[in-house]
This record gives sequence, structure tokens and C-alpha cells, in this order.
Amino acid sequence: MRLEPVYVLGPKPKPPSIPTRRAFLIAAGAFGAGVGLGGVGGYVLEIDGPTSDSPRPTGDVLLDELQRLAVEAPIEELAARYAFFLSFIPSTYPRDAVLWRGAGRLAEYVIATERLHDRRTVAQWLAQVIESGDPVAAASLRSRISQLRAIR
Amino acid sequence: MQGTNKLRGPSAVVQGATIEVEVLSQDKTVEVSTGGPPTSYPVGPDGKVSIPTPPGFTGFVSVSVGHDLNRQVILVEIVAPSP
Repeated sequence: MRLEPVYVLGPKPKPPSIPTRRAFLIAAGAFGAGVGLGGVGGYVLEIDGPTSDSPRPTGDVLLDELQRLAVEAPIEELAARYAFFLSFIPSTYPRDAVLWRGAGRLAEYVIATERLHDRRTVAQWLAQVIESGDPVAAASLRSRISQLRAIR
Repeated sequence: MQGTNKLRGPSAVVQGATIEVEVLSQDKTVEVSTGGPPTSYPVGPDGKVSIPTPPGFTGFVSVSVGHDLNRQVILVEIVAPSP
């Protein structure tokens, strides 16, 4: 007597599943890589994007000087040249984030410094520039208008 | 009166009056703003400019002359007339 192999039709074998721990590590690694790449991308956009409010050479001598006054010069220098500085926001650079940052710095200084020379004039003029300023660029300073107008 | 070496004008005027400024440089125009985009006014042959005050407005008006880093600015206050 001889034994013959018998083939029985059965379900297709499943590939072995990834153990839960390994799957978790892979997902965590992918998440970490995504966060890293997103961060780098965001940093690049921050530097090069139009919303950047840090000074950097622009190739425009006037704008470089105004940006220096806005965020690098001593606050006393900015306050002394406020009429010159503020005159360029409505006329020439209405949406420059660095210049608006300087306007905010000036507002804080005027509000805090009771003995400032020409304080009322600086405060009223600054309030007018903010009020008439670009709705988006000046948005963060609008809350200062009432404080500036209250200076008499 | 107030002024710079390029521009002279009043410190304050009454609402409805005109702001009379004198340009001491060779500039042909002055720019006037109430805080928003400026308006240009031509300088007369005698170096003087008459700027009407905005109707119903009280506050400050900037008058500037010169370009870029050579700009000079004065602020003129527009006050309400005494009752």
C-alpha cells in the first residue's frame, strides 16, 4: 500500500501582522519627522514671509534707517524723532511690520513716561496714525488708542 | 511759530482757518496728513503754502517737506473755536 498526498483547499494565509509595539514606534517616528520638517518649513516662512517683523537689510536706505529707529535705536532716540519716523508709515510703508513694531514701542514709552517732552502731542499724533493705519498691520495697536488719547 | 531749517509754520490754528507755512528749501511741494495717506500742496513762488484745515476736524496735522532721509516735519494742532 502506498500513501498519496492529499491537497485540501484552505483560506489564504495572512501576512504576519506588525506587533503593536513596533507599529507604535513607527508611527511615533513618522510624527516626529513631520513635526521637525514642519518646524523647519515654518521657520523659513517666518524669515522670508511678508509677516516678518525683524529688521534685516532691505537695500532701501530709508527703510533700513526707519527699521533701525523702530527696534534697535534707544527709545529716547525714537521718541525724539517721532514726527519724522511716524510720517513714513502713512505715506510710504503702511504695512511694514517692523515700523509698526516701532510704533508699538513708542506707544508703550509714551504711556509709561509722564515727564516726556511734548508727551501730549506725541500721544495724540500716534493715536491718529494708528487709527488711520492699515486695518491689519495696525490691529494689535488699536487697543492703545484710548490710553494715548487720554494723555492730556 | 515752530519750524526747522526747511519749514516754518504755526503750532496751532483754529478749526476752519488755513495753515500758512513757509518753505525755506527749494522743494516744490509739501505733504499734509491727518494720520492717513498724505495730500500734496504746491509751494507758491514766494515759498508759501496755504493749507485748508479739514472741515470739522480737530487734532494734529503733519506738514512735511523734503524726501527720504531729508524729510522734515512739523505738527500743527487744529483746535475747536472758543464758544
